[in-house]
Amino acid sequence: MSEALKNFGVVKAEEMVLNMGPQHPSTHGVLRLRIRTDGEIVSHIEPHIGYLHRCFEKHCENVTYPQVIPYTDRCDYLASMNNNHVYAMAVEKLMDIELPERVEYIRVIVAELQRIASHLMALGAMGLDLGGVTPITWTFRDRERILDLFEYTCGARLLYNYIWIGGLSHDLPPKFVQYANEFLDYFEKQIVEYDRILTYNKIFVERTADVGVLPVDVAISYGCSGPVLRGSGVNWDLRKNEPYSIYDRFEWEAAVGKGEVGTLGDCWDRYWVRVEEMRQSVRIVRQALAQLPKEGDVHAAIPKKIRPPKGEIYFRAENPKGDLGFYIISDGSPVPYRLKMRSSTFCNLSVLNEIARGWMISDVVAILGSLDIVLGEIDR
Amino acid sequence: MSAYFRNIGIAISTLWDGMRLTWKHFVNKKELNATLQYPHEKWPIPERHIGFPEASYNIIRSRLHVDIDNCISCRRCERACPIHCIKIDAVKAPKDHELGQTSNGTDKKLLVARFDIDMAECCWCNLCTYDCPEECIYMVGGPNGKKHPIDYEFSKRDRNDLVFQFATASDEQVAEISAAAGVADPRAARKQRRENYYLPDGGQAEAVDVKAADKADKPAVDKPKVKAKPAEPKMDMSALSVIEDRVVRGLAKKTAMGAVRAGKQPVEVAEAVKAALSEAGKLTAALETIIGQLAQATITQPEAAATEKPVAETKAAKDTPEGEIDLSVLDGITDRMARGKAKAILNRAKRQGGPVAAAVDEIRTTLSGLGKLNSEIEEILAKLEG
Repeated sequence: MSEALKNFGVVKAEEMVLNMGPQHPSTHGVLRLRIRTDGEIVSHIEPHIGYLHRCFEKHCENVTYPQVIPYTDRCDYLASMNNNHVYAMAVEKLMDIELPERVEYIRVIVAELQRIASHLMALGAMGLDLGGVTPITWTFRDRERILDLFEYTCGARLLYNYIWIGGLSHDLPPKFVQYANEFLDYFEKQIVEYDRILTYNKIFVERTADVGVLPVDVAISYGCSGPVLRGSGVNWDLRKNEPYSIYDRFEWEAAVGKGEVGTLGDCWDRYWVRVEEMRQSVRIVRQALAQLPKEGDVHAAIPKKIRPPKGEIYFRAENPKGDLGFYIISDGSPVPYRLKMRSSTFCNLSVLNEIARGWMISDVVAILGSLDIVLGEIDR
Repeated sequence: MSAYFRNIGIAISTLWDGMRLTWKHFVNKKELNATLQYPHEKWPIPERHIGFPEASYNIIRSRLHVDIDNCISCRRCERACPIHCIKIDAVKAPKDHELGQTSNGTDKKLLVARFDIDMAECCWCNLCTYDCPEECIYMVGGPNGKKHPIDYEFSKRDRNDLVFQFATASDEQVAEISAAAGVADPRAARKQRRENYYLPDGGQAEAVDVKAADKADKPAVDKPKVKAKPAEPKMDMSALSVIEDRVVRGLAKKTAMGAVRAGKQPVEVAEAVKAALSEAGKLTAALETIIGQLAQATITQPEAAATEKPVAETKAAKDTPEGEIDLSVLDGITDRMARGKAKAILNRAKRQGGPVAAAVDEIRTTLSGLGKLNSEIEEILAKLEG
C-alpha cells in the first residue's frame, strides 16, 4: 500500500458494498465483484463466479474421448489450441502413444501462435480498461491474422478441434510455412509499436507501476501460475522446468518480471511479461518452422478405437494464462469415468482480494486486467 | 526538483510518440486498416488480406451438406456428433427392393427416411465429416467447392429453417419399403407424433377412444358424458334475470344459490334474497314481485336429476324423431349473424320438441326484425317447412 493512500484511509467513513458486474466492461465476461469500499478505497473484494457454468466436467463423463475436444475449446476460448494440446497430451500419456515428429512440431507452432493471439487480447483489453482505446484495434488486427492462419489450417477461427488424440485433424496447408514466416516478420515490428503506444506510455505506466503488487509468497500460496507468477519474479515456466512435447529443442528464455518501472510484481510487470512472452513465442515459432520435418502423416498415430486402459493421469502444461491441468480417470471404456480440469485463471482470480485491498476502485480495473482472466475457463 | 521536470519530460515525450504513431496510422489508413465496412464491402470468405487461395484451404467450416444419394445410413456421423444434432431414421430394405449404389460402388441396403441436421445446434467441430465412409457429409466450400459452392452468411428468416432436411425419399417409397420389410413407417409415425404434440395427452386418449368406438361400432360422441362435479340441488333462477341493475342481480343470484345449496325450500330462498337485498338497501316494490315469482320455482334434487334426466332425454329423443329437423340445411345461409340466430332458434325448438313450423315462423320474425331476411333465407326456410 502506498504511503499516500495509507494516510488517506485514516479518515474512516461508513463502508459501502458495491457490485461491479456481471455486466461491466472491465470484468472480462460475466464476473461479479462484490466490493466493500471505504470511500473509494477497497477494503474487501469477493469475486462471484458461475454465470458461465456449463457443466464441462459432468458433460465430459457422457461423451467419448474425441468428443471432449470440442468442449475443451470452449473453456478458455481465447486459447483453444492450447486447451486441445493439453487434453490430447493427457490422453496420449494415458494410452502411451508415440507421436510422429511432424505432429509435435505443428502442435508447437499452432500452440505458440495461439499464445501470441491470447496475449494480444490481454494487452488490448488491459489498455482499453485503462482508457487507451487505440491499442485494442491494433492488437485485434494482428490477432485476426493469426486466426486467418488457423482458419487456413483447420477451417475454424476460434474453436478449432484441431489437435486430436494421437495427431491432428489436418496437415498444414501448402505454403503455410511461408505465410507464417511473413506474419512473424510483420508481427515483430508490431511489438515495437505496442511498446511505443502503450507499454512505455507515461499515463499507462502511472496507472500500472507499483499498483497491485503481488509478493512471491502470496502468489505461490494461492497457486498462481503463468504470467501472474512470473510477473512476481519467479522463473517458473513449465515449458522450461518440466519440458513437455518438444519444447526442450528450442532456444528461448522464459519471460520473468524485473520491476523495470516500478516494484517487482506490480501490474506493469505482469503486463510486460506478456509482451516479452510474445517475443519469445515468435522465436520458438521461427525455429519450429525452420526445423519442421517435410514428411510425416499427421493421422498415422491416431488409434482406431480410443479406449484408454484402466488408470488415472494428471497432466499439466503451460497455457497462455498459466498451468492448465487435466486429471482423467479411465475405467477402460470409451467414455472418461471422471475428468477434472485444473483452471489457471481460477487460481489467479482468487488472489484478487489479496492484492487489490487498499487500492482504489479504478485500480481494481487495472489489477483485474493484469490478471487476464477468462470466465469460460473459471466457470467451465 | 529535477525529478519533477524529468517526469513531465517523459510524459510529454511518450505522449508525443504515441500521437505520432496514431497520426501515421491515420494517414496510412488504406494500408493498415483494421475494420471492414461489412454490409457494404465483403471479403470473399477464402481470400482475406493475406490472400489465401480458396482451393488451398484444408477445409472451410461453412455449413454441413449431405449428398444423400451417396448415404448408406451407417449412422457414423450421428454417433460422432457430441451434441446429437444429426438425426437419422432408416428402414432396412427387403432383398427384392434394389436401392442402387453409391458413387463409390457400395450397395445401399437401407433407405434413408430422415436425415436432419439442426445447424442451430451444430458446434462446427467437424467430427461427423471425418467418420463418413462414403464422404457424403461435408462442409461446403473450399476444397469441397466442386461438390457444393460456399454458403456465405447462410442466414434464414426463421430459426426452424436452420433444420436442414436432406432425405429425398418420397413418403410413398418409405411407406412401401417399410410395409415390405414389415416394420413401422418411421416417417408416418413421426408425423403422427408431431400432429398430436399439442393435444393435452399427446393424442393417446384419442387413439384409445377410436379403438373403443370401433368395438362398439358406433361413434364415441353419442356416449353420455359423465360430469366429474358432484351433483347439487338446482333451482330455476331465470326469474331473477329480469332485474336490470347488474349489482342487484348478482347479489340476488348469489344469495339464492347459497340458500339452495344449503338445502332450503323455494319460499325460504325468496325470503333470504329479500333479506339480503333490503340489507343492501336495494329492495324495491318491483323487485319484491320478481322475488315472489322465485318462490314458486321448483328445486331439482340431485338424486332425481341423476336418475331421471337421461330417461327424460331418451324419451324426448324417441318422441320427436330428430332426423326431421336437420340443422345443416341452414348452413346455406351466407350471412353469419343470420345463420347463427336461425340455428339457435331451431336448436331450441329441437331440444324442446316443438313443431318445426313454429320455429321457422320465429326465425322469420326475428330475422326480419334485424333486417336480415332475404330471398336466399326465405328459400331455405321454405325447404325446411316442406
